[in-house]
Amino acid sequence: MTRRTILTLLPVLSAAAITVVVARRQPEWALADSTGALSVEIAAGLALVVAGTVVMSRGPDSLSGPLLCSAAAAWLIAEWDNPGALGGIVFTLGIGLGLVAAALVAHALLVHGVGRLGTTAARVAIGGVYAGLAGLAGIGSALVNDPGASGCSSCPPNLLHVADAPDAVAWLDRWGLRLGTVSLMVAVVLVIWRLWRASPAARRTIAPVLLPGVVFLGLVVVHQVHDLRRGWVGNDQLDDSLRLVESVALFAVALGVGWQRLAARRMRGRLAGLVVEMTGAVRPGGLRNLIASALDDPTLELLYPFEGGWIDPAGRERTPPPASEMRGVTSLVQDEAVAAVVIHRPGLLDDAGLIEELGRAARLAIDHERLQAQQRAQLERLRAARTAIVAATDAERRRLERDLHDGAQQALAGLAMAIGVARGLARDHDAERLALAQNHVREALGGVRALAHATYPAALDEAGLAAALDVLSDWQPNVELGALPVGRLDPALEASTYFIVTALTRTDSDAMVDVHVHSEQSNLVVDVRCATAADLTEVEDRVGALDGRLAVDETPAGETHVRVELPCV
Amino acid sequence: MRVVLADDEALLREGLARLLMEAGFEVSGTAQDAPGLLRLVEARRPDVAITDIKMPPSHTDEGLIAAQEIRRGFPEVGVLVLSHYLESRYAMSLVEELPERSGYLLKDRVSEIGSLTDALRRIRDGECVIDPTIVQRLVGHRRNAGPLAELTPREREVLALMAEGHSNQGICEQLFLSPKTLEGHIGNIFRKLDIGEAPAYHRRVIAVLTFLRAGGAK
Repeated sequence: MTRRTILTLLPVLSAAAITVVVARRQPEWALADSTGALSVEIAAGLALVVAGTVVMSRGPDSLSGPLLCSAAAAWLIAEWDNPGALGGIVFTLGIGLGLVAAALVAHALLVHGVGRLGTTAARVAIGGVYAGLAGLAGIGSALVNDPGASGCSSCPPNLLHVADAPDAVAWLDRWGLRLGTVSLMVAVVLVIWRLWRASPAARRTIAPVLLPGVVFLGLVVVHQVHDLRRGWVGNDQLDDSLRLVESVALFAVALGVGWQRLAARRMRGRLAGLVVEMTGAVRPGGLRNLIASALDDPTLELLYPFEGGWIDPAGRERTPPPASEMRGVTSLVQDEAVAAVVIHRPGLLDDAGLIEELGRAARLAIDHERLQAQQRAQLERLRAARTAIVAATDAERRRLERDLHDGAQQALAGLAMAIGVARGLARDHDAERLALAQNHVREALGGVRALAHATYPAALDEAGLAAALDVLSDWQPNVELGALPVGRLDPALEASTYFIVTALTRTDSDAMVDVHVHSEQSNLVVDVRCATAADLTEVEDRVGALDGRLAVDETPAGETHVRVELPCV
Repeated sequence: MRVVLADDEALLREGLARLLMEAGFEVSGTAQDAPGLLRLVEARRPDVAITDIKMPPSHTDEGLIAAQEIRRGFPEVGVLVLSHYLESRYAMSLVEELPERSGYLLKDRVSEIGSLTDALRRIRDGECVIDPTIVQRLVGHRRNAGPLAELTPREREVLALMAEGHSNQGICEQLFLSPKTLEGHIGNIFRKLDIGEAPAYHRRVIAVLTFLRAGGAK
């Protein structure tokens, strides 16, 4: 038990003790006219303060906890308007605050789960209830009421009393009751309206508290109408009976809070159980399904923040829709930062307590899944960057090859031709020199041709991967081609596969390199077997860019076997 | 003998035209792209049309496509493709459909006017000429399977030289053979490759094609 809990419970326990003593001393003046009724009254007060404490422990922001605790105290203090009150202070509290419990309960019901009075109507209604029951008929009436002078010789002194005006007392009591009762009726309508408007899931959560609350307030309204007809608050037979039933209703409110607490704990237990399950085999979106079924909203979606934007559990970038009549958007805040947004049926998460409960219960799972999603998004971003780099590399290779073809190769061919012409005109020694120059130019042409081909083979774009590999084996006789894919594939995939093969077959030795390329399900599989291991840096980059897989092992014959799997687009 | 030629590179185009004129050819016109070449062929009906492979606007294989169109549309006009690409694929796609009167040479050959003019004459005479460098690569390539497997090494040498466009006399000189021995080899080649009776140039073309098919691009 925390210090705050003790500080909350202690005054109410004291009030209960005083109530028992007062009611025992002057039972004919007591509102609870029997020991049984008194027990119910005390039980209602104590249950309500426990419920209020429970609500407070869920979140210090929630106003309904302190309100329920205060209502519990006020409910017991109502008995102190009794000649048997232990002294002036107790008696004064009794006549000043005897009616305020209903106002506090109405206020608590309207803020329960949302933290504040949402509408002007609610503020006006609650203000009216306080003004009527605590103001006019409570403290206002006490100021001008001298019980001794009006015939209660055994009453303790009224400490608030400043003047004696029995007419004013009657007027204040009457109008206080009228204002309080009418305002209370409005408050009851507003509570019912709140229940009516709530989504099914939210209604399930708040109904156990609000329904008995409505019954309680309804009884108080009836009670006050009864008193109004008489003109003052009394304790006839009907008053006492109503008081007893009100106590029972108040007790039910407390039970409702407890039930709500249990339901929340059950939901949290369910979530926690699944969180434990999820740490074993995490599937993106698993938490979404879980929360969707816990909140009974199959359309529910979870998005996580990522670098100023939003991502779904799979790490894909998303934009949350604006909150509208079609979709509700609620942020789950942890440590003052938005941990996730929930997109859901409108009204589903109107209840602040439910959001809090969800954030609390699923905190670990949300953190876990958010980190996973962010990691996926980062990997995806890395992959996209690699893809862009590889695509740029291939484009650059294409451009270089074209430049070599249109530039250096054409120029050298022109030069060779010019030397040929000159050679035809030259004699003896000059002709020999020109023949030598011609050989050099031809060698240069061969070198540039080989370079252009290695940069980007023309066959790759024009005839596809198989044709390009076929040409590669013309250039590199140590390449032994096995199965090759039939037909064309995605150009980027063809280019990458080709350059993966050239990287893997670029060895210093003359040893044969076995190359097989085939489709397997939705993958293109490259198998390369050779005696010496090739440098895998370029291969790794290209495999990463295409989200493929690379495996290197050794064959029984001692060869290196490189297997690359690339997803076909 | 009349030729037209197409190349997007002005230096090469004009240089080659001058070279050919000096060698006694009549250059009936030059073009810098494939449509221009086709118009020239239609208007002038040359003996042989010479073309580059990559030309504007797309710089891919429009020269090769134009060569194939010429072979289909004007059977009496021969084509010689000049290219920087050492790929049997291009040569194959040129000669596969209509092997007669067609040739594929590397641009390097423009420096040897003798081999160029020789190739042009052979093409005019209906033969199929493939650049020696490509042929040597095909010969060196291990994939000499299929019908070529039955040829002796010497017969394969003879066939390669035939593919390069050499005359019988040239082959005799290169391999130090008597014309009679060469006749025997050639006869064996035709028989082993199952090439029936036909005009001599035609049988040679078919033999070259078989050679390309077996050793080159699939």
